[in-house]
Amino acid sequence: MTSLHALAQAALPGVNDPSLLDQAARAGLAERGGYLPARFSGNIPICPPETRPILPESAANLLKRMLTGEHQDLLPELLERAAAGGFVLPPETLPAMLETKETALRSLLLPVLGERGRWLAAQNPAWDWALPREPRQAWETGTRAQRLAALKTIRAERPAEARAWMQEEWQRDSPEERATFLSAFAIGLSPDDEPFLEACLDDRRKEVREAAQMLLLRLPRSRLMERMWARAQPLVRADPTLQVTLPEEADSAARRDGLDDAPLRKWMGAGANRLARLLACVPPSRWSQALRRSPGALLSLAMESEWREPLLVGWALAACRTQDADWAAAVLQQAAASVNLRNLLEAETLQSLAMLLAPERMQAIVETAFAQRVQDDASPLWEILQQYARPWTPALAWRVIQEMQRQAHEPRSRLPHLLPFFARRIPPEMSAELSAGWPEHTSALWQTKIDEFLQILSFRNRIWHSLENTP
Amino acid sequence: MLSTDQVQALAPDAAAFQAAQRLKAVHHWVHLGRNEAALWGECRGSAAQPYQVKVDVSNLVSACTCPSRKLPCKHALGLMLLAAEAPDQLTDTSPPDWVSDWLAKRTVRPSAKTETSTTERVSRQKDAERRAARRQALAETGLETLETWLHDLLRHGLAFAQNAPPSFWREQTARLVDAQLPGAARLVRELSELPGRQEDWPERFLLGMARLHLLIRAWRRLETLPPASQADVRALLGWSIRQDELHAGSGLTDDWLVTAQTLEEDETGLRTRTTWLWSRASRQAAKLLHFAFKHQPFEPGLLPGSAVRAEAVYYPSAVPVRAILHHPQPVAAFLPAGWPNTEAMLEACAEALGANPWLEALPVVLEGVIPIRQGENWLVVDADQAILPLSRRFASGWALLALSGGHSLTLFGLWDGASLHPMAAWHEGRYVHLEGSR
Repeated sequence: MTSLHALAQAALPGVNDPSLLDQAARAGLAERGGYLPARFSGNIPICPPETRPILPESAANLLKRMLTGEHQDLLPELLERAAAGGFVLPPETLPAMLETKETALRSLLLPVLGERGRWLAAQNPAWDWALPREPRQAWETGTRAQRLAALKTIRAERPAEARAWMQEEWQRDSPEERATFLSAFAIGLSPDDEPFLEACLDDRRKEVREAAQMLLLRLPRSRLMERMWARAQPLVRADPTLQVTLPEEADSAARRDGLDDAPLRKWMGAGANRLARLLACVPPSRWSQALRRSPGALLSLAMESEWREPLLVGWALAACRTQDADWAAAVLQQAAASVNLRNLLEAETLQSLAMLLAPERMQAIVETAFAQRVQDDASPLWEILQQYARPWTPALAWRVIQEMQRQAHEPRSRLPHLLPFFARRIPPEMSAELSAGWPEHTSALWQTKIDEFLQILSFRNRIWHSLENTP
Repeated sequence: MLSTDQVQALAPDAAAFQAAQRLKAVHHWVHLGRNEAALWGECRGSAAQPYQVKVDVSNLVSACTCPSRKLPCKHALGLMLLAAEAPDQLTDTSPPDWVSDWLAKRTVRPSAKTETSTTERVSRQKDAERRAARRQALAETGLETLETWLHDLLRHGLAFAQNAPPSFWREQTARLVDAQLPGAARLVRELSELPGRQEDWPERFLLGMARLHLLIRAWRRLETLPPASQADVRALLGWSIRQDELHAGSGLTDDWLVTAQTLEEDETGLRTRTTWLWSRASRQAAKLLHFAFKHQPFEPGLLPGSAVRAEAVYYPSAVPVRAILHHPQPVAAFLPAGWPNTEAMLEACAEALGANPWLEALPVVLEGVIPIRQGENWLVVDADQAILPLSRRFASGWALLALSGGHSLTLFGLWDGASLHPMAAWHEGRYVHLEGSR
């Protein structure tokens, strides 16, 4: 019998023989009905057995809904909870998850891919990122992100070895790479790193010099810091009000230490900018010790000085750089109390400061601000809270939401826009209690944002609930 | 017990479902309640009076006093979402009057049938006979032109089909529709989509032509065919069978697992929901079809992965597949048992094709196969090392591989005589609905 293929080839240019259709019907039936399977010869890769349990069904269902787009932004939280519970992802979700391109999401995925995820990734070159690598191998052959991750791993265990790795590759790496890799030195930073970092101050590239400066400023008693302190100490005295002298123009030694004339804030004069820049390079705790005053007291004095802007900007940046929570709290307290200070500090600085605070401290700031009756929507307090991305305590959540509910009838308020941010930080188990207490009739904007707030909170609550039984 | 997925399936469109999500917050509601017959609540909307929303639990039919024309409306969907995700919030247990009255009205729906006199019946029957004879004649002519068209096409050559103007296909399908042969028109439309689509399109195209040719020949000697084959020919040409002609009691009662579900929409806005079932004891497939136009909702359906005990009454066919379900009652889901290996499956499929030569694909459950990737192609291998290629349109190869981990699994899919199109898989107690692939 002629094959269907041969008949089709014959029919392509056209044939004047209707019986070809009969033949095609017979051939087609014979071929479709008489399929003869080929035999497989080869090895089938087999995945090693999973050592950890797969996500419970309720959590797996939530994950699948998120993969179709619902509350996708909460995926990091689900992955974190899953990792904390010791779970791995359901196998059928792995191909979609391995397609992830975001670096942050990828690092959250690594702990929950399980044996199956790594086995699968090994079979698709596009999923190479998910394969485990020896840090040394990753450092030598990986992408920039993989190299940084490897360097951080070793930094946490053997800081000196990581330093040696970096010195080996120093000449071969690009300036951007050097600056990126220097950030790993924040892990396990010690006086042993000082000579290397001090040498980096002479690097040709600004990014590298700045990265090294930041690290040296976090090393207590580093030579750089002592040089800065020697420059700054004579400029500010407290007897009893703050007496401020503006610094001279930078000499070559000061320039090497990073004190150039680039302005921090364009609307401040050159001298004020030099002062702010210098203050930003001195740990603020030095001032509280030397002038024998608390951070709060010094900031109050600063507010009365004619140089209040450079003092506040400099100290705020210094508190961020040295991660000084006491000073951060004092700066935020000041900022929350006064609408005038709002434009002095950038959102980025506010966020870095806020993130240094434990929720209890943030609550104290909120309470004080409310007591001083600075709670209307223009208050910088709300901006600080918007930037406060750490998990909130129930008490803080209560206090803030109660105040929102009190104001939820103000039609032109900008507060409703904050609700979705807050919903991501409030303890999810408060989902039910926080759904009550809102006014029945309010503006459409409030209504929409309240709904969004409650939806996010309730979805997070379901995530937590579905993963609360650790195996 | 309701699930979020089930509510989503009921939603007439994505916007309604999203709006319903927002109504999940309790502060929109007063007097939320439920009992074994109904869910109810009053939802505050833009009107002064809250909307009264009620849902009949037995079939998820809902009603609401809001002016929306969507069915179910966002309020009803929101109420069902609340019942699915936060049932504790529905605290009332005794329904208010507006709920119980509505329920009572629903249960005593008057029957549409009325007594007819004998004379009326006789005259109706005569009418029916006249209509049947007229349709017969129309079909006769329609199929004659179709045969001529096929022979012309063959003479012009398949290469011509690749460049034929749209009118070439449109005119022929229109003629078949006029001849009241919508099934044949569909086959011609499907034929028109083949040229150039796949490398082996000339074979598929020629086979499609051959099937039409075979259909015309079968029609001409219809009385000589066994009744089941007659039904196949008539169904393919476009004679429809009313559901009330499929009598309860004549079907197959078993536990039915919902193995897969697909949703398709044609250019006219007609949406078709296909639900695939597999029975526990008799190991048979059944296909349920539901239709809805544009934003009309589908009637509540079965959820993939769930199972029911029910009687499936098949549409008459030499290889019965399409069916309707009577009295489904939920039962626990189970692992389907099907063909133990490729050889047994192929043998059964050959037999089915012998009985119904127009069969395009046969639903199968195949056990003990391992998915493998070879270059760009996916295939499955059974314990005897027999290979079946997977359909090129199948897009979830990686998900299948991930599920198996190199071990064997059970598949549900369609075998078209040359490739398998998986739609669901089971492995170590996990059921995976392989979506987005048809």
